[in-house]
Amino acid sequence: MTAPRCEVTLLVPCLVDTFLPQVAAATVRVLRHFGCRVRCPRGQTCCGQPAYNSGFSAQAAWVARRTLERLGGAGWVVSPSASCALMIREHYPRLFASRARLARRAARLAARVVTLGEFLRRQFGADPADLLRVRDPLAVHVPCHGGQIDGSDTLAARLAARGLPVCQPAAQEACCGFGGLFAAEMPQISAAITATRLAELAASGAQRVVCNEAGCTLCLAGAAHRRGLALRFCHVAELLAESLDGAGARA
Amino acid sequence: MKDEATIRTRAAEALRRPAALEAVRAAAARKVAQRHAAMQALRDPQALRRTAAAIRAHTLAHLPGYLERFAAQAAARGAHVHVARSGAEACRIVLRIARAHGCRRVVKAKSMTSEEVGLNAALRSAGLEVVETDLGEFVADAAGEPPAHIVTPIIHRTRHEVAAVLARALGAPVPVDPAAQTARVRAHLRRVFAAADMGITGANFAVAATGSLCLCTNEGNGRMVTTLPRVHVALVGIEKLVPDLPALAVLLKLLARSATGQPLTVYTTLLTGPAAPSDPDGPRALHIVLLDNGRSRILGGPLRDVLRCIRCGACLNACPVYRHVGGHAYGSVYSGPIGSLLTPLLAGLRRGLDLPRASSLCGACAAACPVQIDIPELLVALRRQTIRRQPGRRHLMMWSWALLMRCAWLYRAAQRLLRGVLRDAGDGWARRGPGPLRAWTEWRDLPRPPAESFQRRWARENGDA
Amino acid sequence: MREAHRGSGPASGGPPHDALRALLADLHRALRARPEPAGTPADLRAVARQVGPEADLAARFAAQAAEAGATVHRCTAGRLDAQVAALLAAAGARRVIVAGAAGQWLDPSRAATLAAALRTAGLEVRHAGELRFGEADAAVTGVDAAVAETGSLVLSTAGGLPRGLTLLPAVHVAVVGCAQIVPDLCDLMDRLAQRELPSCVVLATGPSKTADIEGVLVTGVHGPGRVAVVLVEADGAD
Repeated sequence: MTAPRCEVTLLVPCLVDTFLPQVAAATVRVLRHFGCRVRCPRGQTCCGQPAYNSGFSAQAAWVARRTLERLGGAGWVVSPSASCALMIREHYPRLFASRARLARRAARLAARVVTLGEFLRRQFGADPADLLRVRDPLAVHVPCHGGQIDGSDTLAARLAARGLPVCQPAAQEACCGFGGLFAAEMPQISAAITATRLAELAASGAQRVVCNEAGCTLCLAGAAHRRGLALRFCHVAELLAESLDGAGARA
Repeated sequence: MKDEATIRTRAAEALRRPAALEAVRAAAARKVAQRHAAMQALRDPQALRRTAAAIRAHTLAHLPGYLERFAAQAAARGAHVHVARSGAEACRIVLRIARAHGCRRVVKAKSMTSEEVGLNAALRSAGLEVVETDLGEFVADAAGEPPAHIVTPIIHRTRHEVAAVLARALGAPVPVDPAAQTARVRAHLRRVFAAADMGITGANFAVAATGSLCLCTNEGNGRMVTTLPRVHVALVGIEKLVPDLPALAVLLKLLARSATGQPLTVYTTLLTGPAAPSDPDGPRALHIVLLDNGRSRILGGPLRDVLRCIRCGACLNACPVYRHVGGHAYGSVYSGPIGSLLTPLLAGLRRGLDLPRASSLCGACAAACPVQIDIPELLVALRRQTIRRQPGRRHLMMWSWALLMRCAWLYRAAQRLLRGVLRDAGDGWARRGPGPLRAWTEWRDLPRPPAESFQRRWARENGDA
Repeated sequence: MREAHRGSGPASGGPPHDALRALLADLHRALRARPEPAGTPADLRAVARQVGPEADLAARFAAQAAEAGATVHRCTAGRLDAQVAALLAAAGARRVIVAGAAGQWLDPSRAATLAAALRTAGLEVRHAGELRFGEADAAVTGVDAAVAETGSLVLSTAGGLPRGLTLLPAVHVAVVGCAQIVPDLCDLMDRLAQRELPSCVVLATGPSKTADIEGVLVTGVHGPGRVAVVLVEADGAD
């Protein structure tokens, strides 16, 4: 048995943990396929985004402290959610700016957090676009937060260049309407935005939609299901795991 | 909370008229495409944006010096320079000017600043006749409503609605063809221009080095208003300053491209002082009213960058919220993303606090802004600044949530509770959720959380972490 | 007319009055409360310039002006009279004003020659001073400059011409010498910055237009609905 090529820590986003555990499971399968040993600290809860974006920074900081402590250590922290990664990178240092010890820990964690796409590229020079084997017509929903760091923004073009069946709606980076607590505070406006995005995705001819943010997925898939649309939403990790399993890789 | 219901209620109202909103969305989509094409055609659009942002930031950081210079230069060229600390004071000053010059008939070019201070109402109350000369503003004014967009005031109106409004305003039937409608308004306004004795404009920019005002219009009414009447009054927000003409060139290159995709608006007019004694026409008196109305307070706060805005409207066109509810839902002069910041800030955080919360923080506005205002960042900052005004139950909810997230066993218990209250409708999805989940399930289904969360499954499969 | 509101505005350049002083003091205070370093952005032109002097300025100008809805006609100086007459005839203009100014390619003497030729062609030609509200069908003028980057005409009060000249008539024929075309807006602003500005400078780009009603483009709202630019190239005979 070969020694693991590296050790990584898995960040478990709260929405993934609760509603979409298959996303985290697929992420682990992909990481193990590349020879990583995956460490999953117990008792992870939330990065604090919902409170932070809402302006409740005291509550956000209180929650973020726990995440700081849970994810402490060394080595890469791989997050299936780009928005959680961004929260840690961009806002943790600011949340703890006035407390030197915590600020240092935040800075260290911020430097270690990566999305799955970033990790595969940096560590193994691997592009998910090269590895996906998909027959269903695909569209990619580019999340507003993190679409640039997890590769969602260029994924459709990269897949199409490799001959995969991509049906990309005309409005490339339209919002799904989730916006965290926005969907609960302004539900009718949020629903109107979701309806437009969903109509675009449905009209594209795609059967599956790659969506790497759990919030966006719940928002779009929930509306699609309510309308009886046949669209299936999945994280790129799930597609990767399927494709790599299909190629006979170890689980 | 009453304030909080405002944009929600207005949005609900607007969403009951899908045809009007469809017009807003189509127009916004067109503008986004035009803006994109125009920016792509530039040699280095991102560098240009960075430079424009730097010019604006620099000017704000040195605003007193530039204002002083502007006032001195403008005065040296014969303009009268006034300072209005509040909107009410601005109205008083303009009325005083009108009385001093014996003016009774006013023509106006489009000025958001004049809407901000309610100038039309103040002048009309004092018995002056006021006519808006920008086509869209003329129609909006005739319909008795505020403009729905910073740049295109009647973006939400159909030609049939316009025909009806114009027929009432002009006292004669009006065709539904836009070209014919425009011709009717042109003919009517020619007579109005000829009889007017005061022209009121805003200014897109005020150039400190030369004491000049820069007006950008497409119709030519900005020129008419500053050519025919004998008095010109310009109402200028103090944040409109630019240092000099080379800096003006940078901002001009971005303004029209960001607003409508044109390299420049049809008429870019640079006015320096009133007409010279040897000029055959033009206003004999120029009065520049510099307006504060809360800007100096914003300058000293954490959201100073908001003052960089050059009023191009690109953020409105890009915003999913604006595109789905239209401008009137914001209930204020400035709508869209920038309006969500300006409205509460100019009002000293006494009004409009619901507006910053009506955003998914998607960032389309920041990507479109020619002067790189990080609007989502500022929205979150404003939310932070105003949480004290949030209802008590929301604070309680956030602390409860935070407690759940601090305590692993509470978090797990909450997950089990969630699974318990979300009834499976038979296919793994819940259609109705209680309490805070109702807002979600009114519009969407929610997957029932699986029996095992990921971490429980991991603990089971892997023993230790 | 008595001096309006003494004490609330300087009659001519002088020390700031009370209201301005109070505002400036508040602004200083505000900036001290939140100091943010913001130096002067360097080398604007390197970033902002879109068109350099090496470009084919006439071609670029023509393309941009056409895009903005103007029509562009190139001719030699010898053919100018015929070209302008043809344009006016096509526009159905009978009563026209011809005005040139010192410093323009269409200087007063060339303007006088053109005016005479148009009279011979049967048009009623007036001077700018005779302009009354809406009485002329067309104005034929020179320009102070033209900008290739944007396809704009630079019109000002510098030559003593009325502001309304290029605004009120429904048709504007602008005579531009090719050497008058500057590459970029940056070049124009640099030139304007070199001397005292006239009271009014207009950069006019195409005919007056609006798309306020349903986004449908309509020309000729308040300014000229028809703009024709005649680009005069130097020829040996000139």
